Amino acid sequence: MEFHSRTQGEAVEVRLTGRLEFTDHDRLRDIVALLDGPGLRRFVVDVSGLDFIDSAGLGMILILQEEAEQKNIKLVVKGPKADVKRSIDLAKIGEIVVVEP
Amino acid sequence: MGFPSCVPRVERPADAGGAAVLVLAAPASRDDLARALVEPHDTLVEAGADAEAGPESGGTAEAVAAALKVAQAWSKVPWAKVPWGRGGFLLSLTTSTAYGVRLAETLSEALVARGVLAADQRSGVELCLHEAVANAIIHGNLNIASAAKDLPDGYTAFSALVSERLADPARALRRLLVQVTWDMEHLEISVTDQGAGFDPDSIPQRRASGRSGRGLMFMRALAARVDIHLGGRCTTLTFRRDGGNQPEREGTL
Repeated sequence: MEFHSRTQGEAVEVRLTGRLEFTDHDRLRDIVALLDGPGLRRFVVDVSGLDFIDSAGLGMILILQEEAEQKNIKLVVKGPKADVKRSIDLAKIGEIVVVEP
Repeated sequence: MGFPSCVPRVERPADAGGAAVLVLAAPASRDDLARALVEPHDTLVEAGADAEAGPESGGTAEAVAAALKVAQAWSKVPWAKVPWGRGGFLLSLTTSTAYGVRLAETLSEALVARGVLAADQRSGVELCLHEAVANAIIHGNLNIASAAKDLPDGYTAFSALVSERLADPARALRRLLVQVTWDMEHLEISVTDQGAGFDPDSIPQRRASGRSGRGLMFMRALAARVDIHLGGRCTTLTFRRDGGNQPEREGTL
């Protein structure tokens, strides 16, 4: 998995590409660190460029959600497509995290 | 352009009943594996060294012989034999190779290329296989509990633990065995590890908010049948080749 982030005012958008899976836990720390931006209110995880996500990858999104919640930051998962959308729907991630098309 | 040194070679061990055993020198790359998987063979063994010999011994004649011995020992287990009238093969990789070659993706691609798996069914099969492989690597051979992630900053500790265990030959050189068989109706994939196993009854049936158990939920939703045997060390996934993969009967999970 690769990621790129950009900050716009009170929002950070992180765009993930490639495959988010159990071998990516070491990358998560860098993404969690982005939640420390000053005055951050909204954190958008753009998954439209992801080709694949596994159960561990979904677990990482839930970790981000917990970390964001603790900092009073609203987390939004944006743009899941195809196989990624199927995994998110099957695991009912939308009941825990805000998922936008 | 010459072939790389790790081009697979075919051996026909005397006590393997004439079966073609394709030997892949270790450590195998994703390309090595992808190339070997579309070759005709009954057994594909990465000639990774065994835990006693250490990783550097991969590729030597002794390592090849040792890997063949492992495959032969396994092929004497009834379930590890490709049943009469079915197509199939057995794949044996070291844990460290299985971790790094995107195994489920590579294997699913090969099954599509071989005409065993319809392209439009690939993603469901790949996800189930991926989850079974991830469980076998992390919880089986590397013996890391999901609970490791539940501690504060758990994912950092978890990834450190994965690196540490992958660096330990006693664990990283344990075998991951994948047996693929098919007939006209079904495709069956078994993933077996050399870990301590687990009690399948300890996995909750439905859990959306926790951090574990979701992988089995994917398998149950996308495969026609999921069975766990050998005390939790073997997961067998059954798929209908026509794609109707709603659970068709109760598996052990």
